[in-house]
Amino acid sequence: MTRATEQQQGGIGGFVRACTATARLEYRNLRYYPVNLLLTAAQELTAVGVWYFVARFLAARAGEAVSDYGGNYLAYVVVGVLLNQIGLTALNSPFTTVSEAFWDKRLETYRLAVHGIWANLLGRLAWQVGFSTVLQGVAYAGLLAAGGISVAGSLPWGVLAITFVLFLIANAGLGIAGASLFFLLEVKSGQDPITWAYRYLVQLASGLYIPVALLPGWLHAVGGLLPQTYGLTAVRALVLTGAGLESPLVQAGLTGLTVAAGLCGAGGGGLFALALRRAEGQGGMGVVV
Amino acid sequence: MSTGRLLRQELVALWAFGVREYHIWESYRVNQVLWLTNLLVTSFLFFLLGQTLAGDVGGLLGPAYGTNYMSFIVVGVTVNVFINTNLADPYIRIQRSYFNGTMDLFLLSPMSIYTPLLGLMSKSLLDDYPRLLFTFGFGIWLFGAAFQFGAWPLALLFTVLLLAAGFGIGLISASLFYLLDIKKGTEPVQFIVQGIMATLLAGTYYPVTVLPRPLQWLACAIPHTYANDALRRLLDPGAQAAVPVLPIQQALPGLAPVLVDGLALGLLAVVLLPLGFWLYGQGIERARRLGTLTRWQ
Amino acid sequence: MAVATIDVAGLGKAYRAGRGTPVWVLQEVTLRVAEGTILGLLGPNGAGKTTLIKILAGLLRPDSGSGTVLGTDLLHRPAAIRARVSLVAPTVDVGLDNNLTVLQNLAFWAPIYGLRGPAARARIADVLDQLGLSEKADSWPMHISAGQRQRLALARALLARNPLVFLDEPTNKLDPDGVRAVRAMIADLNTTYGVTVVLTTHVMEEAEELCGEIALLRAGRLIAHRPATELTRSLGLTRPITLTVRPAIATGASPPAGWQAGLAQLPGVVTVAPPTPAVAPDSVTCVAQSADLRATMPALVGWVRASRLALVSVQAAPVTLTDVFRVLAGDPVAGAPR
Repeated sequence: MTRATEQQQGGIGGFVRACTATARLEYRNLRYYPVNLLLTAAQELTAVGVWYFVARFLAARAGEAVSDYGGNYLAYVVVGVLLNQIGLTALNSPFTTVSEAFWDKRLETYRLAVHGIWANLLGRLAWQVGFSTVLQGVAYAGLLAAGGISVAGSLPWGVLAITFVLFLIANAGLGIAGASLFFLLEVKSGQDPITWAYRYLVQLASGLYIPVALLPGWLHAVGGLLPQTYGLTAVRALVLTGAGLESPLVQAGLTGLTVAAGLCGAGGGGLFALALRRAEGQGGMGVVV
Repeated sequence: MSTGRLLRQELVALWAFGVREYHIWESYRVNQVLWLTNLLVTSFLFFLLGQTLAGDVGGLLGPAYGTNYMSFIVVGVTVNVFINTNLADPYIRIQRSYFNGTMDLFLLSPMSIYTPLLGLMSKSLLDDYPRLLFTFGFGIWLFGAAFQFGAWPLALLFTVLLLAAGFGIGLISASLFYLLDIKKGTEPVQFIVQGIMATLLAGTYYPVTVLPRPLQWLACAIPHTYANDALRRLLDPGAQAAVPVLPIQQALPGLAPVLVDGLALGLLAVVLLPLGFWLYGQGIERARRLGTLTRWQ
Repeated sequence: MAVATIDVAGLGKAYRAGRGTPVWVLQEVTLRVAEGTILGLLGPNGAGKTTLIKILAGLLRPDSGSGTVLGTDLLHRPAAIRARVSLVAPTVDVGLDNNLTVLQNLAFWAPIYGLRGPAARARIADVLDQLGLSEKADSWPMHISAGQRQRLALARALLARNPLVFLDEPTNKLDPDGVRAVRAMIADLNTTYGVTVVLTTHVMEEAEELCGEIALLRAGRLIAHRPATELTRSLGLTRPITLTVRPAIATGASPPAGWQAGLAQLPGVVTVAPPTPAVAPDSVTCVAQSADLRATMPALVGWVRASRLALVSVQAAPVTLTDVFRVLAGDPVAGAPR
């Protein structure tokens, strides 16, 4: 690689440009196949819709259980599911990106560029998370209009934004750690064990559908280890009650999220870097033809 | 060649597919573990929902479906799993046959054009029927579901009709691969029917009455809804077979709800299955005319 | 007249992109292939070889023409034709199931082709052995080489011993041993079992070695169909043989008279240029034009020995598809391999 190329591609500016190029490619793919846009939207909204109706079914009996969050079980579940959908996107994207690039024989090509694989991974992650966020936002607006759920009168947007970013970092970090298993454990298709297990634990123990306080003690303990638990707690308190930093729920959530984002972000990134070095050493970047 | 000999040849081919599916099943044992885990977690989740939220969730089901929420959930999950292979797999299998060139080879053999699809469905014998046992097993032994099996012949009939209707939709879905050149991505029929309608409207996790009225009518367009309704009335203890729930049952007060379910499922099976076979044949012929049977050009 | 396995007339196939004018990829193809023939179907890329094979195999419906394959109406009973033909595609992974081992792949197809029990096992073992795959029986297709996967595809196609076999570039990805094994198997299939074979290839040498007849396609039209032994001769194509020898006696001068005449008398030789001094010391080079390398080369070696000469080198370039099409079509065929 020439010095000029390295100067152009290297550095933070080059990295951001590379990520943006990947995100733009994803956008172009979507435009070229507009039906995919509809299908993706339909899939995500169906997942939300199922839990909307489950919550509607259970709402009459469940209001008291969510009194800390305004007493509206339907709103409790909807906010949680929408946020979790975005989190799942951040969680699943890295492994899927690496797997698709590998089987499409693009991974070695990306490695040739200065930021190749990282830019591909993070650029695609940024696009998919952004797209999911917009979709869930539209879904939320639609459900608000349909009635039955509410949002606090005034929202602390700054705290909400910080909470959301930390939530994304924690989930993405876990997802990147999962992607590292593509090389470290040779998990070449399907789903990596980390994200696979995490999804199930979130369903059961994070308070996604059932307030954590109502769960059996052992599940309560498991929930304490999940970034989702803190993210859901904080966002629900912010969105459903309009509480700010003074709220114990928001404080607990933010504290846990900050720790989770730090651990998961750094841990996931380190693990993936290790995985890449190992793959290079063992020739595991390319598909054998 | 005599008809008997032809039939014997087709059966031999079906058996060969069954053996093939077994070999494939053997090499993907991890998938079975993953599926079992998914089932366990889903069942446990709804068990927790039923147990932890204040009040008696079973009381929300209404008189038609008894009072055991886990029994309600187990039937819904079972119906969904049972029909999924027959409905979703045909398209996926045709797609795979196209991209690996096997479709040409299937046609270049004495088999009829339908045998490969029927053969591929032998997967359901290996996967779906054992899964049925696990679903009921987990529900009964771990999560407090209860069932009555006095009307099992009728329940079996409904299951067969469900599979027939589901396979008909699956064939229609597979035919679009060639008829509309939907070679990649998501096929719309199975996506809409199984991915959206069955998930949202069939009453898998909640009674159909939770839905707005227009969606309840829409739910009456898919076989899953009738199967869920009928099987719950037949198997869930305390279920009252005579109480209408679906809009179509309410519109036909002179007929017992289970009878309405049976007639609707039967009609769907009788219409969709032959239609699916015909469309699939048309799709193959179109592909033969256009030279698009496989990727090999 | 010998029974015709393939007897078609005026076959044509057009593809239409959207609402555009249809593009005819095959036009007015009339072909009669007797039972037990090995027909080489040659042509550059895009000539229509694969399209023709698919039509004859009943996989593709022609837009014009008619005929019979194995005595069965091509237009109205394609399913009956399909049940009695075998086909191997050029793409090596077509039809292989990566979820099954090599043996399981064949064991799956055997009963479908009517082979069962001990007969199936024996036939599978036989084809594996003939194609050098016995040791790979328990391997997964993705763990064997491309050439071995090609041989597996061939093994699958030949399980059934159908009376008509289509082989689309069967030696495409094979190493020399594999090429030899496959050519031997094709020849055996034909001579021992009387199977009619239609094979496509870009390699003239392969066509000449294996095929009794050669049909040439260009731009969708059949421009020649002749016995293989007559093709190059009938076109007047000759190839230069460059022979460099060292006379047993040290001359330092022109070679003995009679060399030119002697070489000109060898079978297949059309003309002989006057010998000239070679670069190698004490050596002489002769260039002879041969219309039949197979006949000339052995005779040439015999002549060198009889003339008590020391052979330094002999080079001969075989007739290629390009040469054939240059003569037939009057211009070189772009893209055809040399």
